[in-house]
Amino acid sequence: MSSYPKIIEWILRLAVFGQCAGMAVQATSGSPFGSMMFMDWGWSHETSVRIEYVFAGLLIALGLATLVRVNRYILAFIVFYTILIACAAYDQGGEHFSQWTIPAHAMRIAAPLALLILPVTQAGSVEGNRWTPVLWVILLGTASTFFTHGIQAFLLHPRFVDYIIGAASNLLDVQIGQALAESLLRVIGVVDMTAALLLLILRSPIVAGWMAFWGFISAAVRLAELGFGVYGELLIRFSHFCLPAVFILLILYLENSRLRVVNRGVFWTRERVAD
Amino acid sequence: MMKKIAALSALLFSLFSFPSCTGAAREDEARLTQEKARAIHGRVLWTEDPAHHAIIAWTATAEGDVHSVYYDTVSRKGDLEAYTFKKEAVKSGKITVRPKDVEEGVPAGHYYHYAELNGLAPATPYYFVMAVDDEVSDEFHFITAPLDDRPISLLSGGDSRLGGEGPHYAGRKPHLDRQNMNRRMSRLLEDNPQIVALAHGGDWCTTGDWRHLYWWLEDHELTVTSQGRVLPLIAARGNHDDSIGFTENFWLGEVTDRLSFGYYFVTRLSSQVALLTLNTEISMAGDQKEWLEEELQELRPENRWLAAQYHRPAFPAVKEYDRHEFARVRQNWVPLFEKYNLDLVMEADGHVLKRTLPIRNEKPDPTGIVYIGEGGLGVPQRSPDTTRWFLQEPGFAAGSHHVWLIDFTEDRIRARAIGMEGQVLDDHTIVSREKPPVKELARASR
Repeated sequence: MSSYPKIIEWILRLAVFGQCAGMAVQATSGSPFGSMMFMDWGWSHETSVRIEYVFAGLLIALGLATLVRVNRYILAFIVFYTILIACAAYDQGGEHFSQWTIPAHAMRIAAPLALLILPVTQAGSVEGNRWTPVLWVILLGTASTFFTHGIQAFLLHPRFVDYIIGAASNLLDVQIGQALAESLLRVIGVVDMTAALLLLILRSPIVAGWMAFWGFISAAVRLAELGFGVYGELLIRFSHFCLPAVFILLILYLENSRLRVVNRGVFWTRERVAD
Repeated sequence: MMKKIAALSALLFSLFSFPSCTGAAREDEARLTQEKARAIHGRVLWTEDPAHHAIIAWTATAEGDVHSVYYDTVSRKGDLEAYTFKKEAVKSGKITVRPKDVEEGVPAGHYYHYAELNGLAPATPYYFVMAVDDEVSDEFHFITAPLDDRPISLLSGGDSRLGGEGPHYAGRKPHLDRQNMNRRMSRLLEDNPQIVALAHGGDWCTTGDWRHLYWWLEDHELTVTSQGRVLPLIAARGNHDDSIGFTENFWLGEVTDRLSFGYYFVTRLSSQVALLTLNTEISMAGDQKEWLEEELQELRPENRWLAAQYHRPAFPAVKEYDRHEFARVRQNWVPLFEKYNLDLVMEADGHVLKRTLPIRNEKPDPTGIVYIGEGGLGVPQRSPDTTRWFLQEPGFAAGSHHVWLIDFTEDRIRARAIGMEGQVLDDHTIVSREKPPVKELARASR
């Protein structure tokens, strides 16, 4: 149990590394930030591409550095860059539901932010109320992304339809018609939205467990549909399964430590358990 | 204390400026309502049967009462009594205006209207005016598609979005590059009267909101020739057309069907030429794919030339090859194109000029399919990655505004990329290649 904080930290490091790698792949293939430089700011295409490649290299380096050692300045930059990409995607449009990009990307923002504010002590265990901000960042980020994707699924996001059809065909050799895929998608949408609300209200590890499972499935389905060539789409979504997993570990740790944590609405406070 | 004063000042400023913004919109709308409504932005839309059917769409500057199209096979110079035919609008509505549109200063209070012309005669000029109550537009004309096997030409392009002298985006008007490309298309239409239509591959504007579309529609009037001939549009949908503006101004479907699930169709350009307009912005693996195979099975034996247009490219000249948007096209559609031996594919999205070498099974193959594109009707152009295998000789790519002029004749397709100044940037001929006989194709499809 005393090793939980370290495990939590390593999962967050892994999430941040994967996300950095995914954003680097995105930068080399043309990110919304690149479009903003070219289309909005009027920079030449060559310049925009070069800058994107510089950022790609930087992201790889920062992601690797995060695996080696947690550095607050590096994490602050990663948070900034993730928010920049989300804002650029919102501004540039050109994707379904672009106007919801920021809440949809909330988990990607939450992962490096949670690691940034993660409390660390020499002893490896921390007083409960210092975990409160971390818990809230993870809670709000996870709920926001799941709820937004849930709405998109319920509204039959065309890419989600193709994930189901393509994955079923490639993995199971089953041909699913569009009508059935859309029906499944509506169910998935309702489940996602419900899970987001339940997580916010109940803060249950069981709900978070489902979200970790589904976060991985929904990230990996892109590879199932289109093959390993789109591996960047999985990397950039590492937070979708890492963050709910971190939430579970954190709750288990706090609720099982000798310093019992009591959830008093907004804050988790500490009460010494009777021997 | 100073901080509080500053905050209060900001609050008061915003409180007073907000009404002035909305007040400006209301004043604008009130002024327009008081003015007599008139028809502007007239355009002809083609879908499945342009030999017999056309859609006239236009914008009315105010609500008006009666909205009609008067038309005839001879010019009547705007004399409403003289026109043989009249059709009232079948779809009308108020154009959606968002707060940002108002901030940008485009007029609010406009209305969209569509009239459907049925029972037309093939290869015939039709002269028409749009009337809003007793206000009559200038007379224009278009020529319906032929039903025989005469040579025809098609203009193809995409990504008209914006473009002008720097900065590219912050100053949205005037869109010099788009306007110049529109003038070029007008000249091409005058010099090549066998051109039947413009197949637009999507990304009409930066978004489908009115602050963008208004200027596109204004600029589109530059494609009209000096004799008043209008260039019919065969419209594909792009990723930046994801807004109510597309469904209000380019489509007879339900405006609430924002994702336009049913938007794909075949256009019979002549007795021997068919063009499939596909939609990369909806499911590519579902109903649309099933429809595509059924149509190809039926169309291939009946048409000498079979072409397709859509927005996101299967073989992108700039953007990353493995991006999911493009991989999806290759996975779902390209095998069908190859199975039924499509003759030409027109793509957009990349903001670059490209023509691939013939491709089959993701390899160079003389019996393969040529893909041209990729969006040069006004958007700032990118530099292609000319190291890509599908752009090697005899393929070609460059960063240049362009429109493709495609000639369909008895024994060949000639595709020329025409630049803004009228220069020929690329000239490629596709002759009938060795294909399996039609009967064998039919057996292979089962």
